[in-house]
Amino acid sequence: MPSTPRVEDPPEVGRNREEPNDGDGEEGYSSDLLDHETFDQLLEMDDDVDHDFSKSIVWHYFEQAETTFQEMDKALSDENLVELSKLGHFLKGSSAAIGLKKVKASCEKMQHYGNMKDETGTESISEEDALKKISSLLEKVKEEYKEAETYLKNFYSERDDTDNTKNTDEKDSSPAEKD
Amino acid sequence: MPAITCTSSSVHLTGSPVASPTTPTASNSSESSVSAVTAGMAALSITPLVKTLIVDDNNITAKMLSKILSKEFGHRTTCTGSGKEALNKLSIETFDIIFMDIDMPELSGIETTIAIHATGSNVLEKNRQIPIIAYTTNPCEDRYFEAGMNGWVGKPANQSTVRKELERVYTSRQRSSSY
Repeated sequence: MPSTPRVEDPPEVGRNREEPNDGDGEEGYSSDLLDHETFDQLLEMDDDVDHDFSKSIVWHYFEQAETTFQEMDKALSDENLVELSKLGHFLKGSSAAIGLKKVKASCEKMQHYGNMKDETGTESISEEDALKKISSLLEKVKEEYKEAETYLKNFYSERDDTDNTKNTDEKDSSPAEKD
Repeated sequence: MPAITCTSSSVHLTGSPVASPTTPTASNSSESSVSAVTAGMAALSITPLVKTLIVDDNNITAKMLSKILSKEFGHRTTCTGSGKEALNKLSIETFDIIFMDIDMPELSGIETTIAIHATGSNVLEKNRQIPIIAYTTNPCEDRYFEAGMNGWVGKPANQSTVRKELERVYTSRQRSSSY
């Protein structure tokens, strides 16, 4: 029986870490956005091909990030630097857990600015300066988050499509029942 | 060289509130401390006897640590979202080990740790003796140990870092209990 024509597999995002990364194309882009080692560790926690655990964590992260950004907006309008620092620290943790490098780095800066320190957390800055920096940083981190959200949703969508294709192939190739 | 007392199916930690209720705890070997730790950790991975309390206001990082501990080491995990909730839990149920976030609203991880060890608190006596491992995006700091913590695992946690720290904490406690 002839094999089902193979559709070209979608790129296995995050799986080609051993290949040289010249910074171009999908691989370079995603490496800038995502720490693949960390994200792969999250994927390895999945028990089945439905990726229930990692997907639940990522979707929960989306909800958490949206809520945290709303709280950051409020804290910024209240000029509450202490709260902004805490929120930055909070979102840094879960961003790091998934491997979102840019978002994590920006959250860390917000944590420092909220403590009236520079982005490295060493030199002191004024309250006015801190608020100014956070104001522009907040817009930046929201964009970085949107980028990450799009990437992750595409990742799971492609994964789900691949799994569905494999399931269909397995059904098609199974021996036909005979009377 | 002190050795962890272990059988093929459980590990007895001196001072631990949970020695297996059904499995004999008498040692039947004279292994080196390194291989005893390894055997102990192997035993931990196949027995559900280790009860772990995770104290973390971030659901995502709490769930990820819980997954690592339950899937890789067979722990039975309970998560609480605040220091106050943790103290309540520790006053009514015994655990073997605690992973404690540091930066939490109201009661920090440091304050919670001090409260656990404070005389006059409602925490069960057995829970005052169990190891507490800091679980945080912050770097390891002396103040954790000064407050009474026994170890540190950086966020995001992975199987390797958790394993190393569990081994170190268990070995350290075994040595100190033999003096």
